[in-house]
Amino acid sequence: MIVPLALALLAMNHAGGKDVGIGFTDVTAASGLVATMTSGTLPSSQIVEVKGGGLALIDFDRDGDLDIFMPNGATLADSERGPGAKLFRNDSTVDGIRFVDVTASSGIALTRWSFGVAVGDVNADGLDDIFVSCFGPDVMLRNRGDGTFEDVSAPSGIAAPERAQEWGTGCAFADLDGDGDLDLYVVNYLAFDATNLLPTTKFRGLEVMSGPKGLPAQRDRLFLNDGTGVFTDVTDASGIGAAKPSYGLNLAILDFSGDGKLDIFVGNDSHANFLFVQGDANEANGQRVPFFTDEGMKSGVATNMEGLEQATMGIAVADVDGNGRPDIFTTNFSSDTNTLHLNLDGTFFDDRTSQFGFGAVSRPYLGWATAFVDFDHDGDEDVLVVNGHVYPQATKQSFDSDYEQRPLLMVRKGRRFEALTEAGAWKLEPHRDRTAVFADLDRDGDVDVVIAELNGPLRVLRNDRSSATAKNWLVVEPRDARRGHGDRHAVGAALTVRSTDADGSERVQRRWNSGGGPFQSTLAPEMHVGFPIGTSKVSLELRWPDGTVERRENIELGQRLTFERVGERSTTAQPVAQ
Amino acid sequence: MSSACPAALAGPVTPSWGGVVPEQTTPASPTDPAAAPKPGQTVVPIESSYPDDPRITVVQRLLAGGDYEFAKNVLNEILKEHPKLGRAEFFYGLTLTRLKRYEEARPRIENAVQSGQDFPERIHAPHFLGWASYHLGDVGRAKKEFEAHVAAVPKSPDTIFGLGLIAFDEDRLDDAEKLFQSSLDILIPMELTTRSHRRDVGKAWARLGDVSLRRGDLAKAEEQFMSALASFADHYEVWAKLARARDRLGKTKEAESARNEERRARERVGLPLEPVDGVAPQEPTQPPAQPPAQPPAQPPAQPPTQPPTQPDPTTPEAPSR
Repeated sequence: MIVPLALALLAMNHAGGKDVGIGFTDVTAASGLVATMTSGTLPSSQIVEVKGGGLALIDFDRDGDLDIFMPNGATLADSERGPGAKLFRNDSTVDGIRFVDVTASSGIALTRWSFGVAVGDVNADGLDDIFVSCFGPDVMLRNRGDGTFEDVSAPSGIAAPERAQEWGTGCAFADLDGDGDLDLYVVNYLAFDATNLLPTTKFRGLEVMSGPKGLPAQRDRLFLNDGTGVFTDVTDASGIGAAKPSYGLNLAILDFSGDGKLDIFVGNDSHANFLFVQGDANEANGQRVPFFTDEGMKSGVATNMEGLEQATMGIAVADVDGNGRPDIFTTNFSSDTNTLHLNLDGTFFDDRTSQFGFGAVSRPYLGWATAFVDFDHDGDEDVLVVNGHVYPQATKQSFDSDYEQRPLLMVRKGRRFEALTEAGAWKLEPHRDRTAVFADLDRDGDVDVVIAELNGPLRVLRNDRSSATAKNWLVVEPRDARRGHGDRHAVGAALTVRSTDADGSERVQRRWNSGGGPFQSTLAPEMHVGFPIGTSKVSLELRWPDGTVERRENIELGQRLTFERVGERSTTAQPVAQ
Repeated sequence: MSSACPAALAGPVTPSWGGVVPEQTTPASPTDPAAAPKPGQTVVPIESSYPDDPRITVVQRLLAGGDYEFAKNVLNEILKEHPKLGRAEFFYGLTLTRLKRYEEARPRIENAVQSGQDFPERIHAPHFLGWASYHLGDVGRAKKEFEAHVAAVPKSPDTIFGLGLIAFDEDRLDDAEKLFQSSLDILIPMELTTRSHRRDVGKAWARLGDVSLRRGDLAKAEEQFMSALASFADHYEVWAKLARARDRLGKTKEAESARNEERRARERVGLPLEPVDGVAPQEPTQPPAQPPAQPPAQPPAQPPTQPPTQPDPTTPEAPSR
């Protein structure tokens, strides 16, 4: 009998008494998710070619499953006319992951060199729209609800002339001012002139591409939504513009300080990271504008423990130390380490990279997208990082780091994380990976992964956990369906899950619906939780972004749950106990 | 040792280059500080018992001056003529560690050891291999190599420091503290006249501060960071650590002062915090992209590429015989 390698390993691990418990199968070929993420040409010679683009999870057709949108890159020959973005409809069942390319019928004709992507219902019509950050003017695509999208960049107010010169990377929607609609934060990288290519420079004795150091950094942008999908640039009025322009790559929006207001963490390349903590709002031109102060340096999250700026591509948030606060994990350059900043008290963070086992193991890798996911349903979150070097010249010999690299899967073992070296064959293959999205694509209860490689095909990795074990999982979706409310996915919502293990001990897990994503990508608008075998007495507590709390007791595992708010939107938060 | 006040770190200045290492428990190696010339002592050269090439002295000078590419060229010439010269192979590996090409360095150093030639720096090979392994992320291997070096050269503060870093990485704080303290205990009695020596003392204090910070003892951490900076004020990472400790202690003004010092220290060592925008990235000595322009996260500014209080085999002044 022929057994797929990943499943064989899964079984072997169980049989050997060592419950590694993670097994993926590469189902790309059968999935129909056929696309190549273009980003310049290989070998990359300019910095604009090496970041790659993002991926978005979006239920554009409102059939309950998550479809995939891929903004795409272009080449230096013509940055306006690349092969174009792609939209794939999810037709998966528990029997298999299947996607259908519906780009042609969607009306999406975006060919500009694109990088980040955000998804949200910007005009509060109940349909998720798409924002794409570009090398050049950004793009807003309005979901018409009939399977097609309309380019509304100009009327949405995001396409000011000065934006045309900017290079947007990570981006995210969130209701930053608490008025119920989705505002927009766009991270910017640097000024690059595609008509004036940069010569190489020397690094570690080899000629490699130039940048980012020495190139002009660009400041980020914050836009407020008027509720109809029309945005106003409030970068200056909000305090965001006061921060020194930096090489921004990614972000996470969440209430890091614990004061009930959303804050913004921005990962900057080779510059100090920002932690924009939201204070009291300002009035500007008759508009109430949330005001932010960069507390990155003071909080300790701007640099690693040595005070050194890092590359900070991937960002993931989780309660790693179990103190109830969101900690921040970032991925970085080779010969550096990925970094874990524990959120000590909402004010201060502390670099605990080595304490949790993330340090030395990550040195050979140049990390990009990352996420905390309980891949093996054992009641704690693991970490996956996709990797690949920016320099085609990189080899183990010359850079202590290869150009093509394997993903790094770190499994939680007690207080620390350990690199998993015995997962499926997919993991053994080195790639030029850049981004990934994590979601239960086939709705079988475990989290699957789609990875995008620089100038390479998408890969679909089906998580085989649910088919191999008991239904010890939950997928929880907060859905704010109140009329006129654009923040339908409740960015910033916090889920606390309490359960009792087989030995009678209490287990507390937390998840957040944060803005931003693994790298220039989106997170699934739902929260996945795994449980060890023998779990009982499961209760949930969902804190909506406005502070309202809902509780549910005696939850049965192995199901998808929705916390839904309906009716008219109230202007004041009212705690609701259920 | 308790966290002594910074002034105590300066200690009495002794005239010899290496001071005296007390309680030598193993026979001194040819390159051990204990074998170093004492004040007034005459050094009597002995005949070399290993294959050598006089140009290695030039290589040592080049390495000491930071001219690694030129050193490589000279070593290539030597190895072309004497492909089995273990000492040249060793220095080739050492040069590669200076270039932070650890993967490439490892086999060179291993080949040198396997040559069987008893060149004086050979005893320190596990030290360099240990740091290479550490930077390559293989902590288990680094630990074994450091332990092998300590077994051969028990009073090797930088190797003990490396073991301390590994203990810290593994969250064995008590072990880390003991090891950093041991490193310091070896370093402190020595004179503080050389920059690298002061830097190493500062490094050990800084790591003791890290241990205290991890334990949440902010006041002790602050004191230890200050001790580190009293030894080596250019250690800009430690100014950043001190600022963070002070922030958490609520000493806002003092924290800002430490950040200002960090900026000054960065400028002194040529790594300013604020890059100059708009300048074409043509500077050949600047890393052009994401990695910090100096060695990576842990250890901080100066990944020790040689046992700093052992005679530095890269400098011709080292008493190698």
